[in-house]
Amino acid sequence: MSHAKIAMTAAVAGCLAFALTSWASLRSLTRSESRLQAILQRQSETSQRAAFEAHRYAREPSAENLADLRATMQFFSATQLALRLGGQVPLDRTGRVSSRLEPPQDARLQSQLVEIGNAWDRMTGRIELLIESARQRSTALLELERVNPRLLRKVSELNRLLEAQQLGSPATRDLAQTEAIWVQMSAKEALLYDVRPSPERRERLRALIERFDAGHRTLREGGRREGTLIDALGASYAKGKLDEVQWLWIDQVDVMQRLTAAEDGVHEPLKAVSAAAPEVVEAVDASLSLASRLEEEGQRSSAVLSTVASVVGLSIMLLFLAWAVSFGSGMRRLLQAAEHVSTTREHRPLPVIGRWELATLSRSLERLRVSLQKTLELLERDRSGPRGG
Amino acid sequence: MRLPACCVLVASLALGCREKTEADPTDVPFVTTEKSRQVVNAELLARAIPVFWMEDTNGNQAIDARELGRVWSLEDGRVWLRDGRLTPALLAALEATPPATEANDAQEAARRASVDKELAQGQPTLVFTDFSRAKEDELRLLQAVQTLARSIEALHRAQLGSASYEAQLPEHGPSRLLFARNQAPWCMAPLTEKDPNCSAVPGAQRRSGLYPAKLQADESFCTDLSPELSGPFTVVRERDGALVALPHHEAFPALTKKAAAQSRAAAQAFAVQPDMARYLEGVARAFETGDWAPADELWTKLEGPWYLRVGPDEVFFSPCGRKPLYHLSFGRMSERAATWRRKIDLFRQDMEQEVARLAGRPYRARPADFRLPDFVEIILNAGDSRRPHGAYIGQSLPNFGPLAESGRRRTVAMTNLYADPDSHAQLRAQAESALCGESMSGFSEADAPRIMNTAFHDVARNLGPGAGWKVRGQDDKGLFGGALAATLEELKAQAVAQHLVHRLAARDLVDQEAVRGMFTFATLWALSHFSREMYGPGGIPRPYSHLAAIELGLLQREGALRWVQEKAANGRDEGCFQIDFERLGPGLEATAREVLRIKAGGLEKRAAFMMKTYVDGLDPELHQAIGERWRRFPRASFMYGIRTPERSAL
Repeated sequence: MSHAKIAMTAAVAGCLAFALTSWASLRSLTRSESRLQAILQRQSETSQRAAFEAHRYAREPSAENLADLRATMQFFSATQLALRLGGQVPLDRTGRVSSRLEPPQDARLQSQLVEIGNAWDRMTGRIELLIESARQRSTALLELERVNPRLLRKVSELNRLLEAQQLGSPATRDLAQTEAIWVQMSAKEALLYDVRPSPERRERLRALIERFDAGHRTLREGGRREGTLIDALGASYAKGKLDEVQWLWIDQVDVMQRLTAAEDGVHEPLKAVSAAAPEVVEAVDASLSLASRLEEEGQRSSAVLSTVASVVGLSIMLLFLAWAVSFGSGMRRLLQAAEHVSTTREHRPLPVIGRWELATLSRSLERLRVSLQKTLELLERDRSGPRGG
Repeated sequence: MRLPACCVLVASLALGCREKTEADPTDVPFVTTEKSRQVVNAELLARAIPVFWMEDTNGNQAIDARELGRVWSLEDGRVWLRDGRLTPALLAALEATPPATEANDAQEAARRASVDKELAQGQPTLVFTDFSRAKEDELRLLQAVQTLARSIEALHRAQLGSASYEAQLPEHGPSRLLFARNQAPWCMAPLTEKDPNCSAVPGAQRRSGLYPAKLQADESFCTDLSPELSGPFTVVRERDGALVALPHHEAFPALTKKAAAQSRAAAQAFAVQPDMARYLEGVARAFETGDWAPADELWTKLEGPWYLRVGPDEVFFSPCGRKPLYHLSFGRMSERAATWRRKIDLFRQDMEQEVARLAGRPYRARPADFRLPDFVEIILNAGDSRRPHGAYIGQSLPNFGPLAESGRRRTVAMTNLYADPDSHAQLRAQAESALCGESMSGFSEADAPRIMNTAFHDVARNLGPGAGWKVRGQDDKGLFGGALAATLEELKAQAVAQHLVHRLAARDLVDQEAVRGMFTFATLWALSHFSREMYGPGGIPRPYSHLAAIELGLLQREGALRWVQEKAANGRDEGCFQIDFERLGPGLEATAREVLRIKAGGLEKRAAFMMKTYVDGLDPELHQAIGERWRRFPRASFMYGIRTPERSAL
């Protein structure tokens, strides 16, 4: 390979190495922002998933649904913490795969991440209320299933007793029989309220409870009802049975009230969760756009850096080429002079070409040439003088 | 879900990132930990840090700020949580392991070992109330009550005779914790109460502040006390070589004066509830005069959303069982349990009739016009109510004065104690160690059996021959003596309560599952008292342990309970109780009848026989077995925590 080619190859390799190094350093500047954006994007999705799972648990308060909800909430919280403070970011809900993240350096982004944390805390506070209410609702439903049949049995026993003992007038016995209807209707209304709560349904339930209370009081104390005289049974054999019905009715009313309150307790936080979820998403989006802006700023900086790097790289390349050309030309002249000395007897001094090593080489060759010339002159003198022998 | 183990990382990063943003990112909402909740709590408490991890509610194996509560009795004014987040100070405390301090000599090492042993017999449990959304007037009254509570604790320490030791506490975290918990330097847990090394202050003498120290040197001094010296609201002092009884305002003038002033301040804070304000004014006067009857009269008529009781009430932990100790109990009426009041109201006369039937002559049913129990959710207990172990879960008060003598006491049942997850888990483990497999069918972790047991126990205290009932002109204390009278009264309440519930179940008003649950709970409650020594230090009888031994003995006699040589439900312990649910009804009735007849007829010999048979003559092997099993489980050591909006996380 000619010297020129070697020099050219070295110059190109140098430029390439420089370009690669510049690209790698610029890449490293922008990479962390990209990862942050990806994680923030996922935080937005996770918060929406938590809201969805909260809705699902409110309707089906099973252990599996609760575990799902808890895992999602925890995933968000752990990621949120790592975003703020740096550290291991879980990449999935199991937390088995994780990646390391540096804390953000930008103060605006740090503040924005704190905002996400605040919005998330508000949302999780409401989810916790919802979880508690859903649990109470589930318990109340089970209790209603237990107490209602017992109460109906007790009302039936009361009616049988009144019938068997012929206690009270027919109107009194009619009123006692109506109690069974109120017991059933109120339980049904409570269950319907649980499925689809509405103010009208709540009002109907309240009215049924009042009707039972008034009716039972009339049975105990006597009085007029819709113009008909009802006998007082409070002092009869039936008193004990009336008390028993009352006891279980207190239980049923308590359970129905807990059920409707729990339904409200589920409904209200559910609405609150629905309202809070967008706040989290908005906070995440704000962080996301801030991160994007930061990345754009980073990219603009990188474009300037690239230009600078290109100019510097090109200049270096040109200087290298100029040097290579000058080096090649000097070498060529030196070679020609050396060639001339070796092929002729004409001992012209070799020129000192270039600087540094090339100049040193020229001087060395010149010293060699002078030394060679002196040696040749001594040989010529010996050949022309007397010989010994 | 398991998270990366980044406790240290988070903590160190948090500390490393200080003051980088205005929002102070050093406060974190949670921190993961490799340690168990119990270990975290033990380490914090060992350094008297007033923060308690109540429950891993969301199961994330991390300490979330909302899972933490502040311990009232250890408050130190430092900010451990802020705006719902853990502060760097708390993170550092959680990360660090408590330093082990070397004892100077062998005696000190033995003392520290005993202190550790004493503390290990208590399971720290936080009774927590969230006031973070409270209104301004509620916060004012809360503040006033807390201030008054501190004065009551000071008075209580004066009665205990422990006040002077506080300044002598060594710089040793566990010793300080012991003093804060026991409100005295001496030890009170079963394994250490008689250990001479066991004390928070080296060399502290166990001497009550109610009697002169010289008098207490004689172990039998209680029996020689004259009636003049035995008055409930007095302190015995030596004056000119003679013993005199001084009212509290003369024996503790500074403390009672301060408490009176603070009661008046609390009365102003309770302007929203005028009857409570009047009661607190009455309390202030009682501190000044020593006459508690007017305040008691006001107290029994209180209505409204708040519960507050201040004054000297219970004698269980007072030497000689005669002089009540100061306490303060503050709470809210439980709406949830209020249905019990309405239901019991329907049957109270019927219940009195039934009790009279069982008691027999000369007792006749009286009008059951007593006030029904109030169901209270306790917020703060101070003084004698803040026991080192356990708590009063029901009280009929006052114990002295005209109201007590006429049976017009007010009964309260505490519904939120032992309702925490730690207590539930422990109760199950205890049940499995003492009951046979099939008898566990009655066990329930639900709160209903516990609340039912407490509610009926407290109703039953007002039924039948109780306070004010006299035979041959003598009340129960005169007939049986103070300690046995207290035992019989509590035994009556417990036996009658269970019989009445069983009777309600027979009428299908309470489901059988609930009855089984309540009986199983009551059996475990009795076993927990049975597990202790029958007599405390100085030979003082333990009324609850006595009643437990008698009740278990009677139920075994009736065949409702049987101790059999089989494996317990946990599959490890040999020997267990079998509950015969079929024989439960007759067994409970017979037990109730036995004790009611003794009380109604003033049958001292029968009472003495019962004591001899079931208390002094108890089966030592059974007693040892139950004692050994119960000692495996530390008893609940209640602490009280209040979250206020000023420090929203706590």
